[in-house]
Amino acid sequence: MSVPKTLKMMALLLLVALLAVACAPAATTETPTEAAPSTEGTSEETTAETSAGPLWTKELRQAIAAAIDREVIVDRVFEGRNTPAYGMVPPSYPYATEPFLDKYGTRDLELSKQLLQDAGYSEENPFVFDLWYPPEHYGTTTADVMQVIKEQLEETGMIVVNLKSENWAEYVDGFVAGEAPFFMLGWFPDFTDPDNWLTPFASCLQSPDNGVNYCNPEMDALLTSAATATDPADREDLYQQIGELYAEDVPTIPLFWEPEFITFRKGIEGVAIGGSFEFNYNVLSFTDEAVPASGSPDTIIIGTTDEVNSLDANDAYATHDWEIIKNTGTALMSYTPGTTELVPGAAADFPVISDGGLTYTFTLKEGLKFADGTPLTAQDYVYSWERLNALEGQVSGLVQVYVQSVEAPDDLTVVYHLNSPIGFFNALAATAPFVPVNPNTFTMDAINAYPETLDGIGAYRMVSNVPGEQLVLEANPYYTGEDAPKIKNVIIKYFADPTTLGNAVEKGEIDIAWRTLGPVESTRLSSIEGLTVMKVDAPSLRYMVFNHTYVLDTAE
Amino acid sequence: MSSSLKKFLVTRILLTIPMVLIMITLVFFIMRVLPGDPIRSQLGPRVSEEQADRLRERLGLNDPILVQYGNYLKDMLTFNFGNALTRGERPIREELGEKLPATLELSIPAMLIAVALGIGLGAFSAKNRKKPVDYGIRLFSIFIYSIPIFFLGLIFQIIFGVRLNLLPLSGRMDPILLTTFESKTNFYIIDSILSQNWAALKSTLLHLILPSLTLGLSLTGVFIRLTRVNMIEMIKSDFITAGRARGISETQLIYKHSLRNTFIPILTMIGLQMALLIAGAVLTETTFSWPGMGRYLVDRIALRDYTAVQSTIGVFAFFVAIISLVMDILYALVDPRIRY
Repeated sequence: MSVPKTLKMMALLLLVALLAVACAPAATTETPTEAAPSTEGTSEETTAETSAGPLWTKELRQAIAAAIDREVIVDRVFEGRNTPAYGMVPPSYPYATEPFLDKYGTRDLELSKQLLQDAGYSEENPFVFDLWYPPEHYGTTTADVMQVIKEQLEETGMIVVNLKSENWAEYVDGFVAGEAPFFMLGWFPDFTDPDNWLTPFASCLQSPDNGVNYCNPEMDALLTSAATATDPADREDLYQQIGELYAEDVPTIPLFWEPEFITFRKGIEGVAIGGSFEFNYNVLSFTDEAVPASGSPDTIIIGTTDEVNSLDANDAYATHDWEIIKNTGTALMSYTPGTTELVPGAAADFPVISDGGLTYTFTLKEGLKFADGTPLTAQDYVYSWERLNALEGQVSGLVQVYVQSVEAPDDLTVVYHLNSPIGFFNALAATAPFVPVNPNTFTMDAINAYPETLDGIGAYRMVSNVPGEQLVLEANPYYTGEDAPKIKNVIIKYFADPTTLGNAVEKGEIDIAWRTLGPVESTRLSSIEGLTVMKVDAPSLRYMVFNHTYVLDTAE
Repeated sequence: MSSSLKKFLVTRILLTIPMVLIMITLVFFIMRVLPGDPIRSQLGPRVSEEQADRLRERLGLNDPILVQYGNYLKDMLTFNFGNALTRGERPIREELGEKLPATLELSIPAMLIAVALGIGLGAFSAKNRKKPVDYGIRLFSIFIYSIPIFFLGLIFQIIFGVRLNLLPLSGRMDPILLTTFESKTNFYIIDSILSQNWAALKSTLLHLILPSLTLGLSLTGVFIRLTRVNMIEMIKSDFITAGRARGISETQLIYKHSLRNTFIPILTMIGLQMALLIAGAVLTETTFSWPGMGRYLVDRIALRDYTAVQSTIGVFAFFVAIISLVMDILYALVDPRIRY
């Protein structure tokens, strides 16, 4: 008798519990809407009292820019490992300038004080604001960097900074929604052109996506001219002007360049990763004194703490995914390993530009084949473009912004029609979404993020992928390029912890430890005999963002 | 099987269902109340809000929350689990099919180590009470109980992996062997035995030593102390004195009669520690790059992969429920006085 009774009780309890939780979210979703009008009311009142308008005036932004000393940040937090950034464009890129150094020097505290005074602030009536940062996403040093910046700003005597940290997922939500007045971010390039370091932050169209909300018609006009100019001399001049306006108007403040480290064992040659941030496995080789981790000179093992997100070139939008896609495939354009020098990839030569920069015509190399033996034709590029549009993968926006249509007049000719003329289409054509997908693996009906094999037109083909354990590449038998792999097989081994990754390369369980080893582990490994720790000047920027439309809620 | 035991079992199994249901319901709503979403966690500001919204739409994240909950329950009840929301949106059943065997292959040996070593040392310590060896074992139990698990793991890596170069320190099998290894069940030990691939079996076992020892040792301390205390109680009890009077050897008294009677609290502790084992597995799997459920769960919580987190916790909850059920049945087997 007692059994059905307890069961009934449990069923009742369950019902109550379910009801309770079912009602709970309804309540939480209602609260903000209820609260919203009231906060609006208060902000209206306060804006009526104080002067209306955004928090950040140009003078205040300049005052902040002038008070920050990058040399001190780099010295105190990174012991000189990082490089101060005085412009948004990486120094290794074409048309890079250092406008913040020209305008503010390494630091101009007096200018900063003067600007704050002019804005009506004093030691008795300081300028108070929140500075947001993510505590872990950019490494554990972020908190130290923010502390130094706080001290530097407060040294003016007229600023009080409240540091606020939030975990990445919440942080992104917060600044995209415009809740943060001043916050820190990192940037990593999509393609090797200055435009990719300026337009996302300073154009009226794109800056809201990055939480900047900056819009200046003068800047927009300059950015468009620079992007569409094809003559290098014109572009040089325009990017000089953009830099000057950028330092004057301060949409964002560049802080420093964060290097990456790659560690490899004795007897490995060909490790070359430059500004293009491409790691070409095919140029790696073992010398006679090497002791390969696999026990065979035909196989090299590379360790990483990255994970595969998607190996579908029409979808993938993450560094490690692009690395695998670019090693198993070839984009239309390519880089000389270790440099930002663009060279033809699958294309036989540089494209022919016509229609005032609106049409790019590529002629493909003859005899290219996918790793399963299927010949590559120009039609495959049309297919990749149509598939990208049909499936709306993560990377689709990067291509759709610039490309209007793709056509293949014959088997070896691919024609790209652009939305507007851009001077950097060759660099864009070197990115992963310009690697043709193999139609046998990647069908039109769905994204295939985890294909069983990856038979692209690159030097390698992927033969297996055990998620979280290892991914195996072997030489593509149909590859005809002169740079055919020196080491036939590559195993990518996945790690969860940088310390273990470091231990593994020290022990010789792997040959190369790649992203992301971290500065502490790299410093430790650099003192060990038989290991080479190479600093990769990857163009990875840390910068501060002003939310230009932020209105101070003085009720808080 | 007696009818009362049957009745007990049926009730317990039925009770497991609401328990798991409540658990996954809580997780479902907590995950959604947390700030952040899978799209932004993964891509950051790289995609426009418009494109982010299209991606959300495709993943069904724009549906009303109760519709999402309904879909989720439907998926759970049909054991379909749906697709993950991040890292390529693979079917969760496929992902858990890879991760769960890896975790079990690590935690079962770890539990065996903890129980065998814990009971053995505990009993030995009780027998030699107040002798130096007793103090030594007790000190060891406190030390091993208080040392952080990832620290123990790193120490093992440095000593046995790097310095002595005896054991591998990451992964489940040698990468070269793994390239040709056919895994049907994802239990590498079982697979290698079935395919009579002895090299793979040897490699798997070698890779298992450090992680399972780390995880096992961290739980040993509790078992040592529990066994010791209960044994000392037991040794003082009347029936042992009576046995001694009848001339039964001391070894038999200790290891047969006393130990058997301390099994009830030890069984309870095994049940409880199984839940802790999961927490320990998270750290051990990260330290040894073991591709199991713990590492998976941590990764997906950070990415706000709702479906993956819900399903993983659902599976964990189910396992804990099953283990406590098995423990209840074992009580009756160990102690004939217990009736249901």
